[in-house]
Amino acid sequence: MNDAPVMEVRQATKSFPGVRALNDVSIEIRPHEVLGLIGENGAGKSTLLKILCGLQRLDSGSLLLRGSEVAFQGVADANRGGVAMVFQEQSLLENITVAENVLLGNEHPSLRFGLYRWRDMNRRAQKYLDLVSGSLRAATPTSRLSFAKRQMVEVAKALASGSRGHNEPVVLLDEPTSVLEHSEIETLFCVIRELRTRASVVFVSHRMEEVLEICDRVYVMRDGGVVGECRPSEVTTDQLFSMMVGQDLSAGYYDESHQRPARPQPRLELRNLTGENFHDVSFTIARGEVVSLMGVQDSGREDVARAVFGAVPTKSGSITLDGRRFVPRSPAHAVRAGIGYVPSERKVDGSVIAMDVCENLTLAHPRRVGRGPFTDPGRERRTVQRWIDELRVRTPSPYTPLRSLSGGNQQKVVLAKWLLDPDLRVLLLDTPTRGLDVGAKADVYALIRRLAAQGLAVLLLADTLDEGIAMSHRVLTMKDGRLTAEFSSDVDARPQRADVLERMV
Amino acid sequence: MAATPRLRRLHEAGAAPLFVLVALVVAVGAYDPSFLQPPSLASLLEQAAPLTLLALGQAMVVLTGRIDLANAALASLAGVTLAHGLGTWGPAWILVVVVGATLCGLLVGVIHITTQVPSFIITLGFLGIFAGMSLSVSRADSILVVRGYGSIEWIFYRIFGVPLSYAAVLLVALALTACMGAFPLGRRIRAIGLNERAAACSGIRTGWIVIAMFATSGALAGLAAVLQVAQLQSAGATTSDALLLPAIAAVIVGGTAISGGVGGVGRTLCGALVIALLRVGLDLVGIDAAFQPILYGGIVILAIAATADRRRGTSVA
Amino acid sequence: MNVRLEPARAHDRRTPGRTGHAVSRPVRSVLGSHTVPTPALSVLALICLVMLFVNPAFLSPGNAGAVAEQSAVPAVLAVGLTFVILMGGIDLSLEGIMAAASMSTALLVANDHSGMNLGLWAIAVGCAVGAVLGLVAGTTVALLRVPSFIVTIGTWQIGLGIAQLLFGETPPRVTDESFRGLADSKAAGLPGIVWIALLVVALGLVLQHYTRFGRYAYVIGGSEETALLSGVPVRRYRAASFVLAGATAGLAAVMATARSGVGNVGIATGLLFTTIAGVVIGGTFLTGGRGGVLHSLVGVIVMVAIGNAMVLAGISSYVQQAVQGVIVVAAASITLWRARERMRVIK
Repeated sequence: MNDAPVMEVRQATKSFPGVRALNDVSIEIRPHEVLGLIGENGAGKSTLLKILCGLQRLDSGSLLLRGSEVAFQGVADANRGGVAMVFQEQSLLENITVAENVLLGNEHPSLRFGLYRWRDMNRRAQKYLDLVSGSLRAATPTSRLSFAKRQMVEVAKALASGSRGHNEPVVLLDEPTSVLEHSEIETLFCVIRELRTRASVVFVSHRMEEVLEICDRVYVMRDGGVVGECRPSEVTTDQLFSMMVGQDLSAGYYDESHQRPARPQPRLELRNLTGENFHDVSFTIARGEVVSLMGVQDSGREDVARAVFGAVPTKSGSITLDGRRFVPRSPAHAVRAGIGYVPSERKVDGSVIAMDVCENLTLAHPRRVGRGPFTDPGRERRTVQRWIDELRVRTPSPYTPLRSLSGGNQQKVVLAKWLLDPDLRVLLLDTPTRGLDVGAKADVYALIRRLAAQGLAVLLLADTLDEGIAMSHRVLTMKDGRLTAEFSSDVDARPQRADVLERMV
Repeated sequence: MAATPRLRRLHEAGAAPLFVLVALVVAVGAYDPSFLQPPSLASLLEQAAPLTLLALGQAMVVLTGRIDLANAALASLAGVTLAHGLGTWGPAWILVVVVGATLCGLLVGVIHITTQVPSFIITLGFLGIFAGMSLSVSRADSILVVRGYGSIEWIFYRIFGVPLSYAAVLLVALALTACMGAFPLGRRIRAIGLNERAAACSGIRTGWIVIAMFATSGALAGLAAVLQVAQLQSAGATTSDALLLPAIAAVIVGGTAISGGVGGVGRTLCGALVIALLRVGLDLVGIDAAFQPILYGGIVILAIAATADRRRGTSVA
Repeated sequence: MNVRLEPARAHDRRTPGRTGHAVSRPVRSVLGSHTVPTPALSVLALICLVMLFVNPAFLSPGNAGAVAEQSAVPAVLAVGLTFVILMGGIDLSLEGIMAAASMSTALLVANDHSGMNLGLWAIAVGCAVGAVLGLVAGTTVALLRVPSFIVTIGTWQIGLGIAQLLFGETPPRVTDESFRGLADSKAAGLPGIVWIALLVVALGLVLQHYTRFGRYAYVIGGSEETALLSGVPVRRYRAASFVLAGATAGLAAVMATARSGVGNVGIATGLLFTTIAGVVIGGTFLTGGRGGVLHSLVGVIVMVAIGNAMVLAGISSYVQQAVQGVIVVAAASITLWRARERMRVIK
């Protein structure tokens, strides 16, 4: 157990436009250990994993594999070095057999004269399948397998691809338990323990108790850095939580002095709303209230917001808007009812980055800047300029393509798109500050405060725990598609971060 | 490859087709100065008229990122239907045919949107349907318009040398430009072509707009058929089919990106004239007509290649 | 290569196949079997049943032989096209490629136009003409990442133009008897072209089941991202699929030319429909990843049988193309119906 590390990251730094995802991170993975990585959303876990498995390259710092420095050219290259990842979204192909999935990209030993020898393929794949489970057959079509079994096959696949490069591979597991039931998780843990005898494992999970149960050693990450290293036997859950959440940011950042009490009239009301990824969700947002809905990835909180916006269908339950029943058939319908939505993927869903500021700003409510059904370039320019000035959007002109603005300014334009509507009633914000720099974040926070003060109901899917708690009048937590707790959050009586976190993971 | 980004920028600005058009006019004019006489220019415009209408319809569909492989076949169907009924029903039949073609386009769009099947395959299916219907209507023979020809003949009159047919085309183009500019519609169409998810998330009724564009394409195919029947005084089951590729080539040469969002009406006009002029130019130089399809095919591939967006991570099948 | 993991699609992949879990296992394993084209076979059975009442001559051995002979050319086309579609592409150039290949083959065997007489070597040239046109389309699609339907419309017209250039004044009549014998001479009651088609289908099945090209076609069609992540040279295989489709189109043109005895620009008119409709009705998904050579074969036979049945039922031949168009639309819609989703972007 005390050998030299199999894999090591030294002083790693990685930036994306507007954010520093990893900041001077150093970790080591030792042979035959299960290493845990925990941290909030955006703490840098996924980035670190992507670097380990060859999906992304470091800006600075070094990656060492068995003592020598490496720079992976891609996932296949990492496999050749004996590093393999089990991806969070299942990456198995349903339309081929289990054996083909396990040996994908690694078929050549089973080929003779360019033809597959299926018996040999199946035999080789079966070897890896037997390592993870007794009940998997190599020749089965993958579409026949249950989710849990597919997860096992994923592990076998990672083992197989890692074993190409080294007989003691490094296997990276990114949130492997998120789609599994309780008993299935137990099985997976048995596999991981078994795996430890022949490989090193990196285990990433949001669920604290799982990490404590399975890992030999844990790194805690926060804001792109490693803030602690510990052995599960020597720490308590509370200690880990407090390490994860860290210290308060400077007061005033969240513009808390401008939090106004919510008005009594309920604006948006969800009753037993159920959809594909969420169940029985009920809550109310009053006029002037900011409610933050907290939850880890796949908790279903995104889909709740999207359902209110009409972007995903609901199965049952009801939505009431200002006392009237509202059945969102499509986003277009929701927009006409006075609902605005800022999606988390700014460049994919939120804006048309190839179009200019003015066009993006007026996309949702063109009538507000036109004359009757016609466009009115003069009025449009004046209105757009007013919003640009008011939100302090830094752009050379209203006719600059959105693509050439910084992330924060892009996000302000996306927000302004909804503010153009004087009848806006509800604003759904999905991680509106993700990827923004500190100054831009503060601007967005101030704007949210102001909008709430005007009587808007805001549903905030916060990026971080701090943000969610500090920005809201109430905090709701979600886990596995269900609401788990509600905390009221007054300016001078904020809920404890560890308490909130505990109901999310 | 170094010139490609610059080429693309020119392309996106819409200057390229105009430049090519002027260069071609000069080249053909230098080869045969009589081409620059007003009558030959007028007959060029007359020849280009049906092609231009089909190209405009195609451009509307392509702007949303789709393709309409059925519009030329629909024009053939409209042509034979028009020729078949004009004698019996009189001038009102023209309106019926154009409205019918619009409804056909509408149907194509509705099916594409509700089934969520790629437009190329839906419109390919309708290409077959329309072609079969044309054959049924015409009994695989060309229909000569005798009675009632007077009601459409006037389209090919010239007033002071200006061909009425092309003036009508310009009127259509103007109307389209006005619709795109005077209403938020144009912006919405571009948003759909550039980023349909974001457009939908901005509350734009993307489905309806796409359907409307297919309907527009149908309507313009109907008008193109009227022009062709007026021009030829007859209609055959496959008369307009040969215009499918030239029309697509015109759209692409005009600088409308096949992936949608970039392009417009004016440059499609230029593109269509370029294609029509190429045809005249080839004839003048005396190159075998069989080279024409090769040329169109080559132009489509080259124009696509010059404007392809290589930044995409995964390829498009 | 830097692979962009598109969040929009990641969302779709999070719940693979969950919808199907409600259907009971045995029913699903038969209906949903990916190795046997059950739906297409049942359509075929249905046609037979209907024709039993309309015109029993449909089921006579003579007519069955005719269906087999008519199916031979589209079946060969379908084998090549299947791999293109499995990878999520489409090849619309079949008719143009066939025109060019037909003309070049007819002019290279003994004929009444040119002095050439390459004998059966002309077959290889026919296939090569197709393969080259396929290579043009394949490299353009793979290297420039442009949609294949538009590129293959281009090569379609190029092929057609080449054929017209070769055509001259009158169609070249093939005088080489051994070449014509490919279609005329019968073995075991079936004409030569049927045997060629069977051979091509058998080779296609080997390709599909036993080679990397075939297996990776499923991988690429299933998820190009996964294929790239696993180090599969996607572009090369995609280009190869178009070359194969071109070569089979060339061979199909040779067979059709042997059958008709003349080189003809319009030799393939209508075949694109029969083939695409056949591939789709056979259960090969246009979005890629599902189906196979056997599926396409059954699908093509269904299409030919429908055409044959319509003739026997006295339906005007003009209507047939329209019916094929309806079948393309309907089959594509039915196979892709379950994948529909709100906010899904399909162009």
